[in-house]
Amino acid sequence: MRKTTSFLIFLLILLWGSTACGKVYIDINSPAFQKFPVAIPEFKNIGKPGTEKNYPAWFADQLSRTLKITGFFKLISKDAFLENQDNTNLTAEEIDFSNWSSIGSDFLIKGGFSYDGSRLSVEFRLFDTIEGKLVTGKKYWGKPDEKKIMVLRFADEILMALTGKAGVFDTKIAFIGKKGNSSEVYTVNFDGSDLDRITDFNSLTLLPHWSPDGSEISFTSYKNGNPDCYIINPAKRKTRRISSFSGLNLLTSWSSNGKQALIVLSRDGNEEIYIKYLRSGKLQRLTRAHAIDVSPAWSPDGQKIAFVSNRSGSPQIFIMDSEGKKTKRLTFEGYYNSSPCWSPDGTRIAYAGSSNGQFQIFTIGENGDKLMQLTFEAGGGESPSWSPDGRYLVFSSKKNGQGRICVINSNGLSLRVLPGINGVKTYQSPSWSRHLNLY
Amino acid sequence: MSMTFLSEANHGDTLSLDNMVVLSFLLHALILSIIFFSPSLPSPRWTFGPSYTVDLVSSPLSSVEVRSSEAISREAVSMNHRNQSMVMKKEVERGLSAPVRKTEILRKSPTGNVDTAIEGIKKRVESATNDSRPSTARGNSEINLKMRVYYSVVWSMIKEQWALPKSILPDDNLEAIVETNILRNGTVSNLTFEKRSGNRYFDESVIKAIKKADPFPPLPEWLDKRYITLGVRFHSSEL
Repeated sequence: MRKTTSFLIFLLILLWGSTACGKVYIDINSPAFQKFPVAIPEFKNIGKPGTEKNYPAWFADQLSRTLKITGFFKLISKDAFLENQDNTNLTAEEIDFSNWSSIGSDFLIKGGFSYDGSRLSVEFRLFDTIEGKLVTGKKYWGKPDEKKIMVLRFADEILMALTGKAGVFDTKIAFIGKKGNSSEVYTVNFDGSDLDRITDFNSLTLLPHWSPDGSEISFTSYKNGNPDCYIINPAKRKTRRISSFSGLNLLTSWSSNGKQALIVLSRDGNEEIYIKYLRSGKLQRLTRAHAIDVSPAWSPDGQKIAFVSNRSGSPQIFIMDSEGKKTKRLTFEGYYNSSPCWSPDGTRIAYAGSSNGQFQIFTIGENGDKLMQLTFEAGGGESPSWSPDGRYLVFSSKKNGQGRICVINSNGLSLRVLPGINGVKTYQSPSWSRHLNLY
Repeated sequence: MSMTFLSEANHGDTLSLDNMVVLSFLLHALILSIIFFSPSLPSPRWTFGPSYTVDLVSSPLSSVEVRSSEAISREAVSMNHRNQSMVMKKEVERGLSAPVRKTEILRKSPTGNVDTAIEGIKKRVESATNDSRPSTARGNSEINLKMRVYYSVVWSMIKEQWALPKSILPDDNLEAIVETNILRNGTVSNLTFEKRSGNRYFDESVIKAIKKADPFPPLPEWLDKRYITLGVRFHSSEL
């Protein structure tokens, strides 16, 4: 018994003494880099030698550009590459990953192509250089003019593998470009390519908004002297007028099923918000205030509507239910807040707010919490619109007298400017489409 | 060693077994006390028991490296007196009422935090310069400080390698804790999750960060350990 007691006391002392050298914890807050470092060497011709000599660089450059636009990737400069450029190894067993991890690249994308004169075959492989393993790989076949689609598809695969969501490569942005006294609706791909002028009214045109299925765009035009509301099918260039009351007719939000729209009419003296049933043409009035009520935007579930009103003095953002009741004020910071737009998941609202005499882009939680200013540039920002995945916002701004359309990550990082149009000085009201299944 | 001693006692002619057990206990207690309370003796190798927490929110490394040893000693004495834990965490401004000002906090760059932390350490060194406290605690503090410098290097190396776009994460702060052993030569021998964040991409990124940082510098020569066990807590946001 005594033996046991003595042993237990000994053990206790041992344990007590050991506390003097316990495990140490260190805290690391917030990643140092907000982007995945990735290296993309030139693709290899794994088919008939000597064909399509510009393809190796084209594939690497196109994929680099596409990934860079997402704002999630930092492309490692080719000058830093250690691997011999003649190396055609495409499998994890053959690649010396230390050549890539040592230059700071977490990921490596390798590819090879072959072209037999009619059919192009391309292999893409994404490797994890730290683990030394293949993350995802795809092989595509098609015509040579489909090679950009192949790159976009694999870029989607990369995003899905590394971030859990596909990209927005099959989306477009509609916006207003103003030349002289007239303005028209334009569309452009997510990366600024394939610019297309949609309207040719030669008049003042405002507020384009994509329909939920991406087949139509609504807008307001002074074509017939009054700001009437129209809907156009961009593919068929077919236009129909849906609202032509005296005064303003502004369609600012589509319902998720595309059957109704929120519309602002000033036919009764001041601007009020209505639901327009697009098939029957029936109107349902939602606001009855003496104040100006504009810019209504449906929440994704259709249960709430954010809008701008000056009922409390200066223009501020309010939220009401879908019947126009239970109104509450959302914004209290700043003396002028406008253009609310719900994030696709319905948790945040982006808007343009006046800050130091200039509009900037903000986001705020639907309960008025987590206010965040996204833009700080001198060019400011107006009319924000979310990408369908909620990871980006597009907005218009004007820097040194030159307008532009900008895209920013929803956390305020990676601002990029879409290419401009010759002669267009002012850009307004960008609207991001849903996924259009372009490829 | 203890087994040998007990064995000899059994052969004793005059002392009973019970007396020998008591004597054994006292001698062990004495030896263990000397081992654990003497700063000049090497630390034991056991790693169980409660854990220390070293908060290294912003890199103090550059600042630590350029200071003279005299300044480091003074700071160590001063810090040891004020607070026994090894805290190098900056004071984070909290609870701002105006939402617009909150946005400014959210926009703070990591560089800004490092600058603030370095400023904080400079201030501590300045205040320590005027400290006339006797240097009796210096030995222990210097050991703590040397380990702290080592942990700072580890912290800095892992932080530098951690790459993950925060916009792919949920708004809530995520936390993952990775346990790792660092061998004498600085290489990592073991990586296990003590706590997963629940987000696959976050968890993958923190493992990758440690693997990229491997190897770390060799353990300090005076440290008589084959390896040290480190818990690395990763947070998706600034706390």
